[in-house]
Amino acid sequence: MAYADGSNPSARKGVGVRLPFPAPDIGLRRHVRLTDQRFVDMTRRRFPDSVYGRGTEPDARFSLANERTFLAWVSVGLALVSVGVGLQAFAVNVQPALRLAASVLLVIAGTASPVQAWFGWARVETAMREQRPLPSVGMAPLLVILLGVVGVLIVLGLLIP
Amino acid sequence: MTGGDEPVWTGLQLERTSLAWRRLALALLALSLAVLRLGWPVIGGWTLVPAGVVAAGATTLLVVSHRRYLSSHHLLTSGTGLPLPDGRLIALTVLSAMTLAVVAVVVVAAQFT
Repeated sequence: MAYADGSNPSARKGVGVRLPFPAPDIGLRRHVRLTDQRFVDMTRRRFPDSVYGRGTEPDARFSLANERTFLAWVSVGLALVSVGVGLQAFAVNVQPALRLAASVLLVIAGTASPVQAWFGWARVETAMREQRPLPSVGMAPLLVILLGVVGVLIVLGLLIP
Repeated sequence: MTGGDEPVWTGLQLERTSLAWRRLALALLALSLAVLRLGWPVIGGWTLVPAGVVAAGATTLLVVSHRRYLSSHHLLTSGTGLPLPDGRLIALTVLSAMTLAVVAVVVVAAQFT
């Protein structure tokens, strides 16, 4: 589908513009400002619909910042999982039962992080689209408490022979 | 290239986001090497399977995120007013990270037995 200004976004992979119905050319097109945001939102299906189906497009800078926050949560998850597995795999010199407990907690936190990453991203993106204040930090306080507990477990594990 | 003075170029938002994706892909590549190193004494040559899957995923992420960067750049500079790419890559990343984490849970849980 070519736009009024001659550009054809659907010719590019990954930038698909799909109409939910075959669009007959009945001369309507010249009456519609095809670069109009509302028309774009109407014709372009974006996943997930629960996010993109609402509100209007926010400033691209803010969406990109939200994406980086998402990636930070995923990276944190990977780091937690790596440390959790590493504690056991390298048999660090910590009392075994406490080490295992710390390891389990880290891996569980590492599993929860991508979940937080996804829901956090979706909630922030939706809030920005609907021009609402940003939501709270989600699972961040839980993660802080959990890391504190892991720290205590490891310190105890180092002290107990 | 047009758009040198458009708001999105303040702070190199797109470049920083692209670098964040690249960092994640490189972390995954490092992880695949760690899997190889740790798994080899336990299951031998079979370690190549999980390490290969993670490495292939990381390489795919590098390629796909670069394409995402290029298409975002095109969208932001072409003046069509089209929005940025959607959340498919984001969802896929979450699923991959979850899968990795669940495998890690199984590996750690195996220590109980």
